[in-house]
Amino acid sequence: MGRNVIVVGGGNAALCSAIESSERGDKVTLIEGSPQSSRGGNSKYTRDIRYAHDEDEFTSGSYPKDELKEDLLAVSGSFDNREVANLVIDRSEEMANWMQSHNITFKKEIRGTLNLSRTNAFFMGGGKVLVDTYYELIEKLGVRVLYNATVSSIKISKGAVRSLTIKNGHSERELEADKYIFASGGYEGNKDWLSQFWGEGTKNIKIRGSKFNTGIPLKQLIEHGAILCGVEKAGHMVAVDSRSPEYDSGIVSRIDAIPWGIVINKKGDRFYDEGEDIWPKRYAIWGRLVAEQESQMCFVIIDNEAIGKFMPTAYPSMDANSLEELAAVVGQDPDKLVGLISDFNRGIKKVNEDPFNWSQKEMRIPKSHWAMPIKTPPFHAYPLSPGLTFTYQGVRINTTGRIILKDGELENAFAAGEIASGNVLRSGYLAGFGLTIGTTLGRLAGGWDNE
Amino acid sequence: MRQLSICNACRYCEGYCAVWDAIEFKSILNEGDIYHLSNLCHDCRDCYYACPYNEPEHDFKLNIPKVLGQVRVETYKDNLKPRFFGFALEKPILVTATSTIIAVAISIAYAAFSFGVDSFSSLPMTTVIPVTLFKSATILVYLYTITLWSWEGIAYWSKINQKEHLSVSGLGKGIRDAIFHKNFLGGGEGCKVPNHNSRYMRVTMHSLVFFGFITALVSISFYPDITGYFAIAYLIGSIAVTLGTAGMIYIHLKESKGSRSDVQSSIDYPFTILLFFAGITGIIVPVSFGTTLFNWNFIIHDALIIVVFLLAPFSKFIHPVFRVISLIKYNSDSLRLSQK
Repeated sequence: MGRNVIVVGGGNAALCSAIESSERGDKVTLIEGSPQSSRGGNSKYTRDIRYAHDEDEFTSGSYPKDELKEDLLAVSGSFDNREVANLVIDRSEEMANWMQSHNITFKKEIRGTLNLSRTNAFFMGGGKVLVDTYYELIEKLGVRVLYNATVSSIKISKGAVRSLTIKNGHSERELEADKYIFASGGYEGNKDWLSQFWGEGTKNIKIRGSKFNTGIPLKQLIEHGAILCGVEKAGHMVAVDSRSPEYDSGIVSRIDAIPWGIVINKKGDRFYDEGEDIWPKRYAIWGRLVAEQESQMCFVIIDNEAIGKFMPTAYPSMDANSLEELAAVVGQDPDKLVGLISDFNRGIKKVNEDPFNWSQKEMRIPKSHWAMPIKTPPFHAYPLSPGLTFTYQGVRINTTGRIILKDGELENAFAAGEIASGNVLRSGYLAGFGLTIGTTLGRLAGGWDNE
Repeated sequence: MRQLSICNACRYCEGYCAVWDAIEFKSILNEGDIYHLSNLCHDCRDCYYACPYNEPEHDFKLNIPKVLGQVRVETYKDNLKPRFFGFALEKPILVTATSTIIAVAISIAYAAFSFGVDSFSSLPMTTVIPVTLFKSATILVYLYTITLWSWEGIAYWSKINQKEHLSVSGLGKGIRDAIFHKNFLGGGEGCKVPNHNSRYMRVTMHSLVFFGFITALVSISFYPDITGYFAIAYLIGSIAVTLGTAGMIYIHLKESKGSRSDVQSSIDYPFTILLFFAGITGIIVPVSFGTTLFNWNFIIHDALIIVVFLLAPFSKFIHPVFRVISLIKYNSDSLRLSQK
């Protein structure tokens, strides 16, 4: 009660911990690295939460904890930190009600988009409204917010954080507090860091997340001996349009057309089954797949029959009336492309009228579902690049939310949100789960049931 | 077009108003669709506040209410009939001010020359404005407005119509949505203008103008019987119009600079200010009853109302026509697609 708390970060996890702390009577200072107009980190590109629930007013049916856990394991393989993963799943149950009681309005129904109406709840206006609503709330709660402020060093001794040096423009000052919460996101906005794993190819990766997520506090915690959690190359990475801006393209850059066509790399070869089942879950592997190709550049090719079957794109498709012309448009060898597509079309097996059951298993790389022949002009292509939303590798925490160093836990330092997502996610992604991690761990760090 | 393609790929704004549902009806938007969307937009700016891709910070530099506002003015200009009056929307401030001054001058001259300045204020109301003059002028003005509005409405409809049929229930629902200001509610969030600080200010102000105007219009049609309940109704209607227009002007002034297009403001302000003065003089009508002020105020008030109607087809006052047509189309499309 009445402690001084510093929250590092300004996205959903940071805001949830600031709300939770100040509602408990703590005096909170929130340190956001971006200017006020760009605040909210990656959270401003979100729009829904995935949470375990009985039947409720926000979704079309119940979603038991076990099913959420199975879904998570299906994309992630295993958990790096099973206790924390279970805690996130358990505590996700209270999330929607908590958000609603903190001024978030949920949509009554959701049409179109991904088929998530049972598992996920969507809030009005998306993530920018979410973070603006929370900022309004913490201002009312008396939280002090510093913008354009980054942590230039962390003092740690005897198992506790002693102070933070905060850089704000040219001035630096040291701030002390009773409790420190690190909710400063991943390091997707830090291309130098990324290039340690992706080398030359880093320049071809589009960052869907905030350019302010540079991972500086995370780096310092690692230097102080924080135990890492999660895989270094791992992150939420999907295939995006190559024409997207380098940073902050958020939702609109994604290309959802892959199951309806074929994907070729720079050499003109297919390299992975485009029609794997459970598309909404497999969608998140395509960023990684494209990143592993030469020049990190691929094309998805569809014919006119596929138009309207996938989510509209922000950029128009590249069009041509014949496959030869299309090859020229996308800089491919026309004979090779025509040959590939005629091989593809020839071996398609249609079981019934539903394209879900159409497959092509004769080629070295199969297409197991939605194998629709590519034959109706005009033909269309979208250029694909890897699009990184957020990185998973972060600090290990325990079930109280405290950060673990090699020589034991930090008694007064907590982590929440993407900086701790490696505890739960190893690979792949489940739509809406980033906010779930941020909200549950943010509230935990803020003192929810954790005294 | 570029901006709305980005929206179509995002769709986070779904639920705020009819624009965001209508965008989802089609995966590729053409010009007619954009005209249609622009008249579904009523400039509440919820989508602007919700957008992470806004100007000036983001590379995409979106400002949807602003571009739709610009397109909306274009739809007024493109469908203005007869074409000869096109200048009215090019120079809205000048046209509104000039016609107001002329109308007021004519009415004062009428009073002065027909009855003499000194004796005018003591004459009975029905001598100053005979019942037959009032009734015939009212009917003529209504006929004129309805004729031109219909002409413009049909022209607009032919631009946005893409061989899709309207349905009777779509018609009913469209009119209902317009009357009950359904889209002003931001899907439960309200409209956050001005500057993110409000929720229900805009719906309140617009409803005051709308219902106030209708109330006043109905009560005055009983002329010359404008005492008792009619006077009270007229007073309430005029107060509502005055407060509502003042509120609308306040919202526009308060809303941060650059958020709306100049061309849109230039047609909004003159009309709203004209209505505001019509409201003020409307309040004085029942209040001044029996005093020497009454006759003077009454003819000036009538002059202002006549200008409102004469300019209706060439001013901001086109908006209810196009809005309702678009709401009818939206509801018809929505019903048809949900049946599929």
